[in-house]
Amino acid sequence: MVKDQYVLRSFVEGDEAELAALFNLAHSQYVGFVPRTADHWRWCCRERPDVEQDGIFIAEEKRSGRLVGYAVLGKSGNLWELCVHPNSDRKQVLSALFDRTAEYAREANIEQMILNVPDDDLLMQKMCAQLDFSELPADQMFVGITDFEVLVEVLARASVSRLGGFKETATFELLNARSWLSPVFSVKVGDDVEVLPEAVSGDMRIKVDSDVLASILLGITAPSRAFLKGKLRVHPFSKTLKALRFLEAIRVKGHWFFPLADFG
Amino acid sequence: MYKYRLFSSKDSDAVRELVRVTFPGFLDGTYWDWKHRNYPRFDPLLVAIAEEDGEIVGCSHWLQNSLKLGSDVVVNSLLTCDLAVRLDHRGRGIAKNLLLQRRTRETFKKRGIVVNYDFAGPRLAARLYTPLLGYLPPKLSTRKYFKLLSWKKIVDFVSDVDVQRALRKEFSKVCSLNMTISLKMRSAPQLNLIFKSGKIEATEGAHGDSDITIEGDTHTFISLMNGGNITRKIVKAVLERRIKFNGKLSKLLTAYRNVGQLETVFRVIFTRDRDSVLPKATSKYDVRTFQDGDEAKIVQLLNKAYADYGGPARKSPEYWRWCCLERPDVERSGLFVAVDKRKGDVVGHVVAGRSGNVWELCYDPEQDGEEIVPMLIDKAVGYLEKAGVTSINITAPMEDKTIRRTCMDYGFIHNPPPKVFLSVLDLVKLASLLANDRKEELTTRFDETVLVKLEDAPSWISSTIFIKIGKNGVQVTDRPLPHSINLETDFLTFSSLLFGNLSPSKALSSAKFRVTPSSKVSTLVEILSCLRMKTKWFFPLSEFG
Repeated sequence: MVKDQYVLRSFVEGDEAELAALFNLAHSQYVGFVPRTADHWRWCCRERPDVEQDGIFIAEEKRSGRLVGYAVLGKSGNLWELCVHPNSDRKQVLSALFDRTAEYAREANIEQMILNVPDDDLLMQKMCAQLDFSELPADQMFVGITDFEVLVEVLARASVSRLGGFKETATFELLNARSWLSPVFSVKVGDDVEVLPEAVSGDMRIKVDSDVLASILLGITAPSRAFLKGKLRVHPFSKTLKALRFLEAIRVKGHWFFPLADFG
Repeated sequence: MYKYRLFSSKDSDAVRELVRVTFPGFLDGTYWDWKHRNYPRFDPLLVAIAEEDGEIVGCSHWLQNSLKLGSDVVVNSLLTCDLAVRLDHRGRGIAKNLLLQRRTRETFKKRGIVVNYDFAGPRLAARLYTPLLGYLPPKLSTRKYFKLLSWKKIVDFVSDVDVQRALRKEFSKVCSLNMTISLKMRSAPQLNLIFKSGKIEATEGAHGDSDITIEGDTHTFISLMNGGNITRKIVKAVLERRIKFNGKLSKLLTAYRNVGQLETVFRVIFTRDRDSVLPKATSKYDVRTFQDGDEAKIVQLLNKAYADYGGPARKSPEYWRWCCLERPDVERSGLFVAVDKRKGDVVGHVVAGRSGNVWELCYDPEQDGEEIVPMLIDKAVGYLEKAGVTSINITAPMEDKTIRRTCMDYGFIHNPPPKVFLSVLDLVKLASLLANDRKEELTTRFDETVLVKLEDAPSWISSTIFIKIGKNGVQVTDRPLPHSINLETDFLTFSSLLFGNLSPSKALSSAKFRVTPSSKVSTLVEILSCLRMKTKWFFPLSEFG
């Protein structure tokens, strides 16, 4: 029971779509996780072998019945997912979900609890500390690019507003490209973004090691740093600043966060 | 030569098993079915198999999903997971080849796959994923939090009878350190490891008598629990002030002197690695508390176990019930029975009284005493320790090395047993019983009548006995018979000869008897040797107290 405003209940069939939507909303500011559909959520949480139906706790607004949070605790002790609606009293909802999961853990003789928390969620971190949780090194995620053309295209499309007056055609020449990667492709940015699978005689040519380009696009390395280290060259040289601005605009910038459910 | 191919439905069992064995405790068979076969977007063409001579020795999986890379950017992705290679085929490039299977532009284009990712340890990533596949670690904003609610698994592991026995056998030295080491890990209850009385015990919660306390952060402890070079990790952690040791200097020095064994014990306990200490997966025997109806089986066992011994009474179930079960200091919870798991036969028992006396400890000589005895002693000692007794007495036949060794392992010391003093009330009957017991040997070897003249005989003992041995049998009487050998001795010597305490040759050389005619000396010595009791004497404590 959550004070007056919210109530806790167990999962019932049919909650999946709403829970998936809540998950996507609660994680909207992050990157690096699998966005939930109802089917994926069902497989990922409800059908997980160590999760019982009564191990899924849902907080809803008493008055409106709106879902404001949920937690999925497996018998393994993994708190696979813990989400709270950003427009709710997060402290109250989190507190209730933590209390209920702790109670369930005791009842089910669970011996340890593990959860992933975003590093900008100070409230959740504070609560973990209050509940005597300790921080351990997080599991490391490794990402590889399998299709630079599509990635550059979708990132550029999503960044059109940030590209300002960038209206150029850039040809990327990838050095040390692995066999499954196209060594050359071009991106044409105008009112729209178009990617071509070959070199075009355009405004600029960007020569870069494929791993360095991956590092830039994934937000690991700043384009300017790669340039200064001589790992990225632009022809003509006069277009260097423009090319760096373009890469800076399209690179992934969000906080990489994944719930435990995406890991195990 | 290894052959690489794609998964087909007939591979399910082999792949499930390979994944289960490779990731024990995490990805058992249920998980494989859930994670792959029941995944809504499962594609068998994205599972690679390595086989040798038709046998699957490796597998690698790709799960199709989406990955969010920006507020409005979601791309199709593949999660690389459950890369498993059979232990005896590792180091031959199989993992590398599996990861490269179907890694073509066509595969990715056809499915619209833009990124590929996985979760891996930094070492594996640096060795395999980054150089081979170009995987990079994004800067994560993910924090992992952990809390240990209970040490139950460790406590249960340590108290397991098989593990106890194995630890005691392998690490007898540290088991007798008489020391309690407490671990105060952040985000966890206190764990106490008690090395005392030849065994190791684990308890959870506050412990007032800790000799050494180790305090530290969770990550360090978990790292230690994961094995590896524990000593090196401890030294590093101490230098970096991530853990600290508190305790009396003498105890710390004792621990330091036994650091090798302690390290191994800690590793076994924390990784709950049964296989490293248990040569056999499980014991053939089980120990339970006494149940009504066990009496007859226990009596049978006693009679079988002590068949060759002189001393103990051949008990009836009623006698045993009175002697053990109804004894004032015996509770049913202190009476343990070892049974053969498969057949259910009673193969041993122990009766522990709250006075500290182990009234009976017995096992079937045809069974594996090396397994049964430690199990029974362990139960008895555990029970008596809980009862708060200050000392424990166990008696066992001198010749029983198994019980002796186990007792030594538990820190028992050997004390002289209580003496039994016997007196003869009817010498004729005793000699007659002994003679008839050896009738066959006597009648085939001898044809003599011996007159035994006893000096210093008590008033209730006849001073002359005739032992007649002939083809028709043996006869012992105090009525006069014509005799061919005359033996003169004292009552104590003759009794000692019969009870087996004194050998006839020794008695002769000590001039304890006289024989006439002297030509019959050797015949008489042989007759007496044949007559004397040869059994070993033993009585359980229940016969004594």
